[in-house]
Amino acid sequence: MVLRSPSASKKRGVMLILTVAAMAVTIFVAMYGIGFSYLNYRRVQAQSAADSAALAAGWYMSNQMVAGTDPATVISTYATQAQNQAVAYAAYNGYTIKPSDVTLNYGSGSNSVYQLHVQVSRTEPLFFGGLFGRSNELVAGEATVNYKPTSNIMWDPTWYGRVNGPLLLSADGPNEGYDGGDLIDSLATTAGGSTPNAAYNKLGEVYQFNIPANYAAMNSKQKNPYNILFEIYDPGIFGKNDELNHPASPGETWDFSLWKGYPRSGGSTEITHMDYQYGAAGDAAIANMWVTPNASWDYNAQSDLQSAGPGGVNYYIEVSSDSSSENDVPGSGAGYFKDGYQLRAGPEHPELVSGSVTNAQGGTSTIVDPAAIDTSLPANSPYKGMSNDNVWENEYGYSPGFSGIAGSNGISGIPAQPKSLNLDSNGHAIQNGVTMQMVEAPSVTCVGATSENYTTVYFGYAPPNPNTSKPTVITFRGWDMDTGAQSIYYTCSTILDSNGNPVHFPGIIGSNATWSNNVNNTITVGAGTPYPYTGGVWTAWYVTGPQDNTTWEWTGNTGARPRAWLISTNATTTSTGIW
Amino acid sequence: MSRKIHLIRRPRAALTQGAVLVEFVFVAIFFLIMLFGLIQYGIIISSLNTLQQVTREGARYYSVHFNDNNDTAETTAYMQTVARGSFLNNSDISNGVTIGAPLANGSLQINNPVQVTISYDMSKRTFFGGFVPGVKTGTNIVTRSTVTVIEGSN
Repeated sequence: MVLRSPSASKKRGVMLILTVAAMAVTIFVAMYGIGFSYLNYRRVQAQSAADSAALAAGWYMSNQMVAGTDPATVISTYATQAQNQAVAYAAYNGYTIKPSDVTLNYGSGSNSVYQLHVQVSRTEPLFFGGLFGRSNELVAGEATVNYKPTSNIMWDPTWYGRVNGPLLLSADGPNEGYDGGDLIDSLATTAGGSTPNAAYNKLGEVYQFNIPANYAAMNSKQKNPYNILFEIYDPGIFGKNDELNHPASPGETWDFSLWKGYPRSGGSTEITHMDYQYGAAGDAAIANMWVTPNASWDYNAQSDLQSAGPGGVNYYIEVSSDSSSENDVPGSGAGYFKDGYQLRAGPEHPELVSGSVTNAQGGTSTIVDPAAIDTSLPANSPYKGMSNDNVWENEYGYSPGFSGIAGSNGISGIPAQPKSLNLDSNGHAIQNGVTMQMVEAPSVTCVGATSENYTTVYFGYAPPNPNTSKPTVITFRGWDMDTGAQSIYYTCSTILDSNGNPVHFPGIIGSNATWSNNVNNTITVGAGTPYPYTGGVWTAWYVTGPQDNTTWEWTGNTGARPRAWLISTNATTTSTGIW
Repeated sequence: MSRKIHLIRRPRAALTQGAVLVEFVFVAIFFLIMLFGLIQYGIIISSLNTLQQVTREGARYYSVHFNDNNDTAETTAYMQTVARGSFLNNSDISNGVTIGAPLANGSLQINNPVQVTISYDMSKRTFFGGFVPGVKTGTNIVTRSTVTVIEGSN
């Protein structure tokens, strides 16, 4: 048998087929490679957009989580805004997504770290897909972000006079219940409802008073140099309208307790306490008055001080209530009745005492009307003709400026400006040696101006960024500065212009029932800016509206950024370590 | 007989060799175009990938280094390190970077968006544009950008 090779013509036919087949395969591979590479490129774009959207939402949520807030409440309250942030940043990067593409409460964070997830997608055209009946492809990117609460600067201190003008400390936020923006609310329900406020602190707000070891020597001219007089402003409670205008009576009960050592902690001792109920007997008499609840609040600290170390002794006042600023009449929607109080402590000042009142809850309280004038002073007294508060200012160094008080029905006029801040190196208020700082509840409420009013809000001391090569960034936020509020700016005690006047850092007033935009109220000082910063005391200056009931809080960077960071992706891009 | 066969076969062999040569040339041209085309498209798409990735990384870097003394310069330098090892060279990246606010009236500050954009002349990475279908020759500015939120520096 003889094997024959195929004829040449047959060979050419085979080669042609092989060549065409090889070309087809090559073309197919080329098309596939180009198409796949292109889709991969688009996937990188989608990933980039997803990353940006997730980071924006996480950063936004981080900014809402200030100290003392309940994360679950914050997440539910600001869910829509966070989703909108993600939608906006996806759009910036060319992707249209829906709020439902943003999953809050994604995964389970740990150690105060929370997660959210964003998915973006876009239909991308294919180069050669039409040949195979597929002209486009859906390309998606996903990103998961961890975020953690911002670092809040405590109100430091919340001392008599530290909040100027028509402002009071408040255990409550301004809205009708915790879900309307109130970061701190002693109320345990929503507006007019019964949903528990997870952030409710049953122990109340705690204020610390540090009495230095040499307190008695500093006050040696006093009759009782070891005595510390603790006072409460209007413990009744309410703002300018107070008991005069409250719609129901009696209302909530407020408890003030004085402690040696941190309240209810090991080794602490309750010195005394006093309850006040709105509308109860004696309540009207203490409206807009400084009150020493009873003799126990004129505390003789001799034994404590003589056994104290160089750091002195810390006393605490805990403030709590069984209701809230607004909802003591459930469902009433009363609107703008705000609880407020102020605290102060220092040496005895009997010249200020203007009377006493019997409290239905517990004995006789001495009271001081800030606007009253002690007519019994001798003609040669340096305080003759001065209001009690002006006496306090001259005696103890600082006045909150209650000079504008007209009777007991409100605060009006432009408050007097401070003579001095009397702060220690940490920004704590000092009066005759007593240092006070707030140790819980980093918010304060501005209560009810009756007309436009020039107001100063003393935020206290903000430390510099521990990383000295980086700037210090401070953000102020005010709640519900509506109806006529205007012209806000911020100053720092250590940042002065060439004439020695505080530099004005302008901000923008917020609107009705919202927090002011922290974008517009963020101040950057220190490294890389024209303003060297080693710490200072910050103040906001603005004109209140006639219905101003403002809550304030502030935050600062502590070298802990980023506060929102990507933790994993399901797509191809690889983070490079710092994200 | 053998001579006759020889006379018949020689022209056919010569013809076959020529045809193979011609076929080879055609096939080779085709395959070379395909090969260089794939290489060229690979370079371009890889460069686009790099550009996108560089802007993304640059935007994030700027976000968390905002207000550093030289935040823009730092960001550009960081983008160069990200692009290192890619088809793009550093000088091209440093010259093409712009950092600004994406909104018409926007300003660069914390909580605001920042847009990091890079413009790149892709003709610098076009080696076979003359005969690869679909590849532009001459100046071909490609722009890619990423927008992200500014967190601020430490």
